Amino acid sequence: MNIIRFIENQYLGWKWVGISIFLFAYSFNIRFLNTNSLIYKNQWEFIFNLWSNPYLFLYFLTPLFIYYSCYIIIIHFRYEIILRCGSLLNWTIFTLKKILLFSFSFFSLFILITLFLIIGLPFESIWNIPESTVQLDNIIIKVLTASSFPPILIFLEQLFLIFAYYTFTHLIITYTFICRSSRSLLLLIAVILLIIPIISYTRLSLYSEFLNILNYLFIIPAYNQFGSTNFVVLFWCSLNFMVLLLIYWKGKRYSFWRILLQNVSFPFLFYYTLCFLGIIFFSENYAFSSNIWDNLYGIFYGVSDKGFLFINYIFYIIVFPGFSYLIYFKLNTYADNYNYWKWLRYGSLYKWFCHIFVKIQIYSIILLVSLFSIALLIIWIRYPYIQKTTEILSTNQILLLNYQFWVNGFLQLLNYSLILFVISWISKSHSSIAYSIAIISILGIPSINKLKIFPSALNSLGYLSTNINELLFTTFILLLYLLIESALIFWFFSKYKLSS
Amino acid sequence: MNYTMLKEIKNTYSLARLSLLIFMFFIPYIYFFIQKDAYALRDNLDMFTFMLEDPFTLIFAFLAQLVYVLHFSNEVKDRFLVYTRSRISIKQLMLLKLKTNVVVTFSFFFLLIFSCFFFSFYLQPLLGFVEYFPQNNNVTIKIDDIYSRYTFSQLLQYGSLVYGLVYSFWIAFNAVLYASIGFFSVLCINNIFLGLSLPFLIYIIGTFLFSLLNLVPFSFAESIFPFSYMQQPMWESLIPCLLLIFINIFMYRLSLGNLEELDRLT
Repeated sequence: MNIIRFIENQYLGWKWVGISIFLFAYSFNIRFLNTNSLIYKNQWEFIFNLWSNPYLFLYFLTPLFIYYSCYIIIIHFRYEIILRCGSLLNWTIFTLKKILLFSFSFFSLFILITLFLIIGLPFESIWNIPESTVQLDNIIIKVLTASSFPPILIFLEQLFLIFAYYTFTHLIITYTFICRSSRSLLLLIAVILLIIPIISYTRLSLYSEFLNILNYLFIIPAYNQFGSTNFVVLFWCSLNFMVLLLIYWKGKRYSFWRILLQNVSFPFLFYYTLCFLGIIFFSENYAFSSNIWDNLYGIFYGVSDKGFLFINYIFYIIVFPGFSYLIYFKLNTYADNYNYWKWLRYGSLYKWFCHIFVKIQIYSIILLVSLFSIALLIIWIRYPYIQKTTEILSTNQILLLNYQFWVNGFLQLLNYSLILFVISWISKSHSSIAYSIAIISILGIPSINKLKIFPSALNSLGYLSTNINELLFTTFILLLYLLIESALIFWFFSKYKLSS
Repeated sequence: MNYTMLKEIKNTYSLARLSLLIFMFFIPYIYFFIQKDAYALRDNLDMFTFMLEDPFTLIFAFLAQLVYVLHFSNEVKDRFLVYTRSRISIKQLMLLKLKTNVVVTFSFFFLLIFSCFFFSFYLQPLLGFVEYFPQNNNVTIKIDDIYSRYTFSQLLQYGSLVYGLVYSFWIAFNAVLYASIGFFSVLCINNIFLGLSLPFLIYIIGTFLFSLLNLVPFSFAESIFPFSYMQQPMWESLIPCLLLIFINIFMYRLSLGNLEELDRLT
């Protein structure tokens, strides 16, 4: 009985009659009167053609959904409803449910119309058109042939994308209305949300494909543009999550931005942004397969015996010595008055140093793990599937690569940090730290560091070879320098009298 | 009493500091004499660019700070400048020091690059430090190749001296820009560690970001040392330079523009 009542409530009304007549007429037009209609090979081609029609979605569906969002928000923004929901976030979810119900009814109607119109087309549950008969200019067929998923899954993903997009517009409208509940602002936001996709489709897409809304809204162009739909799904999910987070913080005592400003360390944020951009760039230009090890090799190539590329080395300097620079910035290990009180609290300099050293180790491990996971994330976004076999490296080099990346990388990071520590204690000035980074980066140039005896840039993956002895030699050199540095530090500590 | 630039230079450069300058002056030569046997050089231009390649390109912004700003930062850090106010107005002193910075850095880098140029274009044919391995025996092609090899080498058509003078001037001018960024940032950033390394960070990170955007000819390092990319029109090198000038103006407004509110000088 409930279903009948639901259908009665939802569909019997002039608005649904109007919508269904319009939808049917438009779909009918695409099915029979389109110039392409003669060459639809099976039902999927028609379905994807209809469901990624920019005019239908941008000029008809978006206004409809935005209008309905505004309507829902205005009639439900009442104190008793917000009190009943308990919080602004719960209220947002309450309105979201109404939107989802509306979109559920709408899309089931649309699917019904589509099902009605595919009558007469050859029916296939899986995609089995051979690649040789495919016209290359038809991107729908090209993408469906290249993809390894059945078309029904791709269709469901398309539905999910559209849901996510309308959820996002609804959340944006809700957030602005919560911040400032004025109807003119609501109107303004609604008009902006209406116009931006249209401008993006008609004007901005001429400049860059990344600004084209269709690449984010429809599965077929997204597949064609980004090579995989993971990125688009992740994009909408993270946007929705961020707006929900904003709405959650809106009800709290302190604003979101204030908490963010207090807790986020901006140098680290900047550093990680640079790493992120660099990893994207190098995995785009220097890695030739979707295998994770090939990508790591291309990204953290650094320097090698054979040659020297300036841009690779600059990225190396930003990632590894730059990290020690930041750590120095954060821990402030310099012998000044501020630290004097810290030493008194720890009781002895050795205890204080052990504390700092453990911290440096933890940060280094976090850095290596996060670099690895950023690389993995980017590969996952860029490629539809991750290749298991390597193309640049031979298979027995994978273990060596892991050894070089994790063990030597860890030791190299410790070395950089301790070198900065030693230099700051010898020179007793901050300015020397700024210059020791430059000196370290000079010593890492392969034509100067020919024998690999300076502890600089030794963990770059360009030094990888088929022989493990060279890597073990690198480890030995790094350990030796660590020993020398810690001996120096303990010698400084024995000279320094804390009590005086 | 008049405090002139000459006195400032005389006061700044003790024997140890002068020896640092002299060491810096010979960095390209040291690199050249260590590395000359490992590479096959083609001609004079190849030798000149080889001297200024990797290490010098990498630490260019850092060398620009070493000439004068390092000593200036020590004076600022120890609050030495604050106590000279009874003798000379602080604004006058700062402008004098800025002028000294510009003059010293400019002349140092001009002499450095011009001496490298002189060494490879005039002394090398006389003394023959290295043996050239020309790639092509056809003389006409070789000459064309020189003119269209790097960005500034189109000037070689008007004589090698024109190229040497203009290119030395260009590098010295850029060195002055980085040195004055360092000068201003030492004054207005309270953390002297960050203030001194700011020009180096701008140089490295700027080069990196420009390369990420596929604008390699516009990157900071490539506009000064255009040896790893094909020839571009010379005006394109001015674009990163303009960016640096804007940074300079901004930093000037922050530091010397509001001297009364700077923590370091009150």
